[in-house]
Amino acid sequence: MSKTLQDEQDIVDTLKSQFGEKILEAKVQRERRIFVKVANPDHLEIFSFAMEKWKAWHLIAISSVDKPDGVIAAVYHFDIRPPFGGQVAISMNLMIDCDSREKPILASVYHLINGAEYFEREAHDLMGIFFEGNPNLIRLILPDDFPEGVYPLRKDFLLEIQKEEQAKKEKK
Amino acid sequence: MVLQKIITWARVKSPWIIHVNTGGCNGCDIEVVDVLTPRYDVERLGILIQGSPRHADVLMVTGPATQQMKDRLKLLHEQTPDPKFVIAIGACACSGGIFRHSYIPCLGIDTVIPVDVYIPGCPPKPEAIIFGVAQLLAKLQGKDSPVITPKKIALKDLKKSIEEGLAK
Amino acid sequence: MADKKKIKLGSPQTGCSSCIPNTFEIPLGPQHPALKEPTHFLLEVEGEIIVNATPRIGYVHRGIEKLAETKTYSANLTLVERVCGICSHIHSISLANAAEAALALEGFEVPLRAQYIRTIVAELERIHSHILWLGVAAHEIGFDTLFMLSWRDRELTMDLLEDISGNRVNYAMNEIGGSRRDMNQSQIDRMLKYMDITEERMERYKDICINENTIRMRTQDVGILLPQKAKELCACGPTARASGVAIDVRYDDPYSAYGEFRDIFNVITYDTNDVFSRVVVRIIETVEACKYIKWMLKNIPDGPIFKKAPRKVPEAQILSRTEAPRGELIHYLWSNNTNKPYRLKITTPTLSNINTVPEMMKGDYLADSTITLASIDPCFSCEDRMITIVNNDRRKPKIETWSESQLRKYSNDWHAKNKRWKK
Repeated sequence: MSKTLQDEQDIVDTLKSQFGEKILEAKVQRERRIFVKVANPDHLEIFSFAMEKWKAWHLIAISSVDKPDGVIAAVYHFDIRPPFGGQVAISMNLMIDCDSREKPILASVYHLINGAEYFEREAHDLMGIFFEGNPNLIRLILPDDFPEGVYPLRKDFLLEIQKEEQAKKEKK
Repeated sequence: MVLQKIITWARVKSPWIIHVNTGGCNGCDIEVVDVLTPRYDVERLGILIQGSPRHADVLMVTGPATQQMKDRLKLLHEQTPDPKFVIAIGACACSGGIFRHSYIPCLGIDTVIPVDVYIPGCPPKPEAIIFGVAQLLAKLQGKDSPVITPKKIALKDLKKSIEEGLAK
Repeated sequence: MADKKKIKLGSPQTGCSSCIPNTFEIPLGPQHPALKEPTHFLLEVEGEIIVNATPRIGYVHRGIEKLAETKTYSANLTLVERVCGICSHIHSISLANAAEAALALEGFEVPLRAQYIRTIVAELERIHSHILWLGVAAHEIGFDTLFMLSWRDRELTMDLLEDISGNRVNYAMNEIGGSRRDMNQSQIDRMLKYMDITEERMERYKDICINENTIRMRTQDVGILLPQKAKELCACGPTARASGVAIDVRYDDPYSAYGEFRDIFNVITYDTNDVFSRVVVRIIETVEACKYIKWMLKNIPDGPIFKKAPRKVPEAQILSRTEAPRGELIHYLWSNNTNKPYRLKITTPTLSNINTVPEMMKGDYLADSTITLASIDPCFSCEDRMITIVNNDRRKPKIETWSESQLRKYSNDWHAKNKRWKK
């Protein structure tokens, strides 16, 4: 394992030269981790480019984050270089911001990778992101009698103990 | 009266159990299954695990009774023929444990069905589960529950016994 | 069991009460004797053939990701161990790795001996999990002798884990910055001895599984998942490796001490794509895990096992990948320079693998559904989700009206054509 991060830098450079202005931010986070940020529909292009060039078929997971500045974002994690022939895998975190907080909308990658369906539905259920193009975007984890339009992983949803903590702080 | 005695005798000699997971983490479940396998082997005591609640006397419940499993647990409890007994296994089943403050109400199974014996621990060891069943059986017979008085062991002997155990 | 008895009769399309529809729906679960965990499957069957399967999960949802935001990092190690009782250690490794990677940006380093101890416990956990799975799978196909035997041998590993950590299931071995417990020489000797025994027993089970007809007849050509489909559906872990897809995070993206013996590491794959293939992969992986443990025990370095870490974790976004016994486990940590995580996202291997089950089940016999489901080693406490799959290929059911005599004729013809059970 080299600590020079040359492979990682190469991938970042390739992406930058290929997509130019579309890439809002691209950097090497640490060994074997790359971080890229794009706007909404551009991630589909990056996916198809990576699948063609590096055979990046392995979508690891999709995370959803309610960022400190109030923007809801989804992070796609995937292997950019499947490690055949003794190489190590380099994983990419691809972050896409949503425009609105009331109805965050992203384009689905379902037609590129079928396995994304469940990851997207999980993000929809817990964080309230709507994925356009996902065929069955319905309730996934939460119980059926859970109130509609309440997304427990958003920061404005508070647990009882969090409310108590806040009340204590205000008293002080 | 005699009939009652015979029924109690039959029940105590062979309690059939059904194992229900109400959303626990699996830790207690594998320990329950462990109790049935050769190391602990409770079948020699007449305890048999059953697939259907209609054949069982004792419900062994693990997990904190999540919102989705609550109704099912009630249903299973209703399907079990009388007289039925419930054992709550693990910290979650007793009180909700570490998940108590979550947004899905996980408050323990005694908020849903009546419980006879609580076995705390995260997860309880197989020995503890067997002891819990023994307590239930004592309750059935109307006896006082068995008490295990902890032995006092000199630390030197303990070290010796551990070293001997390791040498084996 | 509660929902299992209902069999829906009469098709709404025809409105004819005397005729039997083409397909039946059989609910399986959430409480049922085959699996120890609550899950619900709606199986659509045509005769004895499953044409569609619709999993409904989420009975185990406890809101752990939200709870994690209210606890400190070392309290979170305790919490994430309770995500799953079988693969508990790997969850805490994953979170500890994530927090340490964030701390490493400020020059924090974990002692190497602690990494070795973590990896040894993780491999022991893999052994106990795989033997447990072998027993459960044997139970599903009605081979209870193997179930009892394998669980007896599993107790050796449980003894070792109890010996090292003091607990049988949730070991609480990790702390941010190292390991909580050390190993002494007598423990190492005992472990080497027990690993020899386990390896010998696993070789024996390998022989049994490969040569025993009871297992071969129930597992071969059942639950087929082609490599292309496995890739499309993002399968991971032994499920993917049994379809010939060589992915293993321990090799691809080494964490903890796996980087130290990468040259002797073997990624086990097998290419028959069925349940039998998954049995073989898991058994050989267990044997390999014994070898890695022995290598690590012989090469474990001296030194401290713990380095005190600062309580505040600097701001970072860390993707931590580990290989749980069931497949790839992800912890995605957002820290914000406090002692609590800002966001912790956990993605477990069963979520990636559960969507392969309907694909495996389609076209199989109803009686094989339990072993097919068990073959991915599902862990619903890890996963707690609900999925609906729309049937779109393989065997598309046509809606037409059949009389009972037609149905019988179809059944007779079908069995005359498919003489699978007679071989």
